[in-house]
Amino acid sequence: MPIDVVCGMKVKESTPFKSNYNGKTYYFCNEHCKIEFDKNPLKYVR
Amino acid sequence: MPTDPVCGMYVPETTELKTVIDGNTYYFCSRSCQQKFTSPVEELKKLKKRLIVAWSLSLPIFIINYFLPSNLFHGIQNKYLAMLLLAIPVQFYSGFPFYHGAYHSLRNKIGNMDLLISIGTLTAFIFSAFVTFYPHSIHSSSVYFDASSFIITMILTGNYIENITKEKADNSARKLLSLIPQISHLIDEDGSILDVHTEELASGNNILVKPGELIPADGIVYEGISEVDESMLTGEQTPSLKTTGDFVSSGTKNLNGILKIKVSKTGKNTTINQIYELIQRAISGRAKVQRIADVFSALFIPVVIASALISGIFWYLYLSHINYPYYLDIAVLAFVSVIVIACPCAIGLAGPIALLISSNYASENGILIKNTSSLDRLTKVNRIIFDKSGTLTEPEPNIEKIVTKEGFNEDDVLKFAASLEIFSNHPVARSIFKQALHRNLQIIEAKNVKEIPGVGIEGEIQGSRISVKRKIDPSSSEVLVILDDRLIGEIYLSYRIRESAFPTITHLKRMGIKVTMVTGDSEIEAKRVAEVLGIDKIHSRVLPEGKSQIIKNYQMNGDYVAFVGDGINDAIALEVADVGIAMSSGSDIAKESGDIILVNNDLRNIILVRIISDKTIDKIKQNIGWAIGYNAFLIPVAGGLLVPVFGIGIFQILPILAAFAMGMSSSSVVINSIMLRRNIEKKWNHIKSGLDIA
Repeated sequence: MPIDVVCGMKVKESTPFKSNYNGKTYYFCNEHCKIEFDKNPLKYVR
Repeated sequence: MPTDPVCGMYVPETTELKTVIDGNTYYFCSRSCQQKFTSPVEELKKLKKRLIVAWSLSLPIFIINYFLPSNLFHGIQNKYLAMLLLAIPVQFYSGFPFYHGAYHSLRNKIGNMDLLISIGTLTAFIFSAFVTFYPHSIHSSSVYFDASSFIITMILTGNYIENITKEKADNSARKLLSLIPQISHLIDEDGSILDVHTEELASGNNILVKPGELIPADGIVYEGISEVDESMLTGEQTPSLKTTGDFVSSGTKNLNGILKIKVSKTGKNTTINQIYELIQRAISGRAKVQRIADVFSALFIPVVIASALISGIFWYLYLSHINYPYYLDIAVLAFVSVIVIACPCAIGLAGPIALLISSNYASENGILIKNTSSLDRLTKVNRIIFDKSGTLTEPEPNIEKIVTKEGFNEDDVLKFAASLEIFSNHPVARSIFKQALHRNLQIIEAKNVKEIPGVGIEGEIQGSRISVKRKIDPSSSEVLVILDDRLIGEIYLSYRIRESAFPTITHLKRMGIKVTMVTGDSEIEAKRVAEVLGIDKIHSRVLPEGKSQIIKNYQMNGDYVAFVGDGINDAIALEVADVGIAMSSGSDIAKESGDIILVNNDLRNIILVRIISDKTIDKIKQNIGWAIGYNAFLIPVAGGLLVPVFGIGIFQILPILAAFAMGMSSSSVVINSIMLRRNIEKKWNHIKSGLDIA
């Protein structure tokens, strides 16, 4: 099960909240986490 | 997936074990976690009762089993029966919470500690009961009521110690809520004072707070002047002067004057409640370092049950093969020992307690950690970017000098200016008004007051026309006071550099952290501040949106960036940075951006919060390492790894030793976490002496 890199929770791959960054898909537990990620993905991926 | 706020384990939202408090839903892995959360004191009392029953019956079982001969009971079967009768209350009364938790664990299809304990103790109990009633059906078997009872007793003892220690760690946050007085003095429309319960207060009410009383709600002072002790919020011991127009927070203490306050927020929305909630939320926050624990927890229960089965089956096959008479007993004991020694809780607890303790310590020192996951990132930060205005410099200007014209002294000029500036919220106006109060000058009643934005303020005082003209500049401001078209004095103000800026920046540079300043002001003003503070990298004339681009550029070059700025105006930069540290505006913590808020605006707390993050992340790693090491080492021991050394007889005491180890393992994680506070304090006290403000 993937992990929401913003809040650290486990999420299902079927979640509607996802983003692509550098060719990789990131999954989020809610819209808020996705918005946070999109503001500056680098903050969460390294 | 949400986490259990008590033990930190993941719980599906579909669980029936949930509680709604103040509009927030909390999910729990077990009934005991839920009860610990909803009524901790009552739960502790119940636990104590169960514990007393467990100890007072387990000890006699132990004595009967090992020290009393069978003939005292007229036969071994009666001896077994006596132990069975004593074991029943321990098994089903003291052990009840475990079954309850196990039931929910099965329903949610997520294993928990309760499930393991239930399987372990029931196996030993049922096996022993079977031997008691059908002594000849299993060849040369004995009973293990001592094991089943002691497992429950030991684990309950461990839970009890863990609860008491946790309660201690949680106390300082709860102390915050006790700062709200129960009774408030409401000022009626006709001016009469009525004592009401604080929860009856509503926004818009006027209240009176007498000297020595705690302030019951957030609000704005509309009459009176007094010093207010805000140390409970800011950690700052010097009281701050509050007067008309100033914000006061609930829970702070009015020291020496009468204040009349217009209530702006009550109950859950007050600053003190928001701080309490943030600290509580820390426990369910997740640092990135905890992810390794999550992976471990997910696989844990199935791996443990499989290990227990493998070890039971191994001993059954091996011992029956060599014709050892007690092969079935040993197989059962090996199974029970492995199940009981495994402790998923220690892994679950590794993060939450450490985060709770560090959040508590931070808040006591005027630092609010809004986002615990930023602590991981803070440990990596190697560049700190400071905003200039309001961050490195004071948000309100200071009066540097007053030049007077003939016939007027400084106090005259200040008194006329302050009598008009009292009507304005401009930072320069606030500064002039406060200086007048500081000098005990009498404010004169003014009429027909009119503020002209960008110019100043004018009005009539004692029949004369007074105008105050403000000439604002980023670094310094000049105010002209004119009485009936005649200039009577000039007040010079400047935005002073915060006293805490120099020691902080010097120390950060010593720590190897690169320091940068951004500002919307001119290069000349930027250089003035940078030179005083020893900052070599500056970006001037930057628009607010440009700040976030500068941060991103540094991040692209591999830097981990913390941005320190104003919680309202620098919101984007605070969010883009790896860690956003906001200077507090003092009135609405919930609305302010940033991962960390410096409530007392003392920049030295940046160093403290870095120490807190370093020590907290270290402690979580240590706890996770300890918990994983504990399970990785002791599960094989419980399975019989040491039989070649101590012989097969070791299984007689292994289940009890396993229960002892398991009971102590969560407590030791909690106790180890409590040491965190001392570690942080020690390091901070060592560094703080070198950061003194001259």
